[in-house]
Amino acid sequence: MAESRFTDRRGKDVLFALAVSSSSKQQLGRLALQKFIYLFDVLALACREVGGSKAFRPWRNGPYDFAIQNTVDALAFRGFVSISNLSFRRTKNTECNYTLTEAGKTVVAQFKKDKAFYNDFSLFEEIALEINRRGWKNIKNIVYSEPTYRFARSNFQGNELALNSQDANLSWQLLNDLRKSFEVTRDKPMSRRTLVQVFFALLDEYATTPDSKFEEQS
Amino acid sequence: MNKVIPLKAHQDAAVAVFRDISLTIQQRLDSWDFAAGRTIIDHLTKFLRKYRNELGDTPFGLELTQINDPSKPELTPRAITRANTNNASLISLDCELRILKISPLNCSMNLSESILSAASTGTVIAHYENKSLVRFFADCLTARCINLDDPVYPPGRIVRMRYVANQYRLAIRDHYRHRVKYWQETDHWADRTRRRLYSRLGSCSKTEDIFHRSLARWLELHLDGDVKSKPRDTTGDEPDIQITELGGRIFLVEIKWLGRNEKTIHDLKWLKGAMNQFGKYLSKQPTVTSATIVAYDARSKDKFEALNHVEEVEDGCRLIEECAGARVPARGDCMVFYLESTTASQS
Repeated sequence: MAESRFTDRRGKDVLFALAVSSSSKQQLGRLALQKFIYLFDVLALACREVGGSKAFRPWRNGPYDFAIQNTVDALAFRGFVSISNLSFRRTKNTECNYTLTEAGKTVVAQFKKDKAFYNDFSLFEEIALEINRRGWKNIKNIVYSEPTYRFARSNFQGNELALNSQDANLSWQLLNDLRKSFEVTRDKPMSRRTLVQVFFALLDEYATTPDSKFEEQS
Repeated sequence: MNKVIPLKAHQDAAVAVFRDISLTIQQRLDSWDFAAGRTIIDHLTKFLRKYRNELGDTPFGLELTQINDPSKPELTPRAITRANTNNASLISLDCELRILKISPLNCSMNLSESILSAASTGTVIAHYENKSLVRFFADCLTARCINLDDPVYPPGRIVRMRYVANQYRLAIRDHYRHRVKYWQETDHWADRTRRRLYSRLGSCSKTEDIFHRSLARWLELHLDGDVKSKPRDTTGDEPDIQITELGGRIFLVEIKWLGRNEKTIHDLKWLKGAMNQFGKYLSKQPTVTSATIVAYDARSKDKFEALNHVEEVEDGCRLIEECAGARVPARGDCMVFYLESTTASQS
């Protein structure tokens, strides 16, 4: 029952991620899709006050949520997502790219009519814009620099990453500090666009530190 | 669930973003895109570093916009010197550092901070001061400076006197020692022997402004926080200097002077009035963490020494809690600095 609920919610995330990435002329593979949605979940708490999922775990190839893979498989089975460039490395490693079919695009267009869903869609767009600036091939480095995931990795924690919690979502903590400081001398809040840009700038800054180099080597 | 805190490297990264010039500009100008602005500032810094030997120490101003116009000519060192040959000019640039237009500044060749600061109303101006320093103005306020010798570090020899934002009082004392005490920078004396201050000096139309501008600039350079000086077009309740720490804590500085200038006299009653006014202001501002009245004392040494103080923190600096019956508010303090009028050797 619980898994079905997660899969249902992930349907929207998967469809939006694939729709937005295709606007950037980018086909997402299994792991890139996980990472893109992970960034959305990280920022959800800061951008819409309702946190993302807590189903991600720090896996060998980055944060991983099984519900996303189940969802994308189910959407492909139902004809909303098409699979291309399928290849197998050893017995367990499957590589492929996902794109939306025409039916999938129609569903996304329907979802976008809902205000709350449209907000989520535009957050995916903001994130994609920033990944575009840095290149989609760098999405792995971007996610590996993210404070919550980086902390879990450095502390060998395999528990779920509670991205919906203000205590555990470290990106939220840093962004909240930055936002509060930013807003002190203004009568307007920090826009979501700036917030997402600030988040990525923070990861860029972190990537220049010796700490991140050490992580890459290890 | 136990609360975890981010790694030190991530906290440092957040501080770096907080101090980012483009973010400070965005904070002041909604139309400025933070991420695109970072790229522009990065390009400009690289350009200035590449050509600074050609450009020398002659100051000039560049207006930065986020327009993209590929039809316009590229910025070159020759274009900068040519535009500033007879009169100082402001060169407007697009996002790829192409020249959109050149407009004259009405200031002959003496390009000062105040002129460029005023010209930055609703826009962003980079003020190339010399081979080592470029200063950014956004909507009449200094956003930040870049050290062209090495942009990773803050400008000049300031590093050794750098403080975190909540230690702003130490920075104020540094400023007194290095810029004010022996009129090293402020040049406030109209008549030193009679201990009379200027009532206006250059573009400073009030005695307070002489100290205010120098102190605000000092704090901007020496504090790891966002220092905002009083906007030029506001009056009344606006504090002189507002310092914001990463995390949102706010500190205020109010500047006063005691003694005589060319026109009027400020005695302790006047300071008392300032304290009362400050107390009322603080009671309306519950989010302010602490506030400090900085009073520069141009009265005689006897009168300074007669001040009822709680501590003499260093030679010429006294902390007072009470003045002519008025008390400093609970979240505030008052530092009085004695203005020397003779050099150490004369005294």
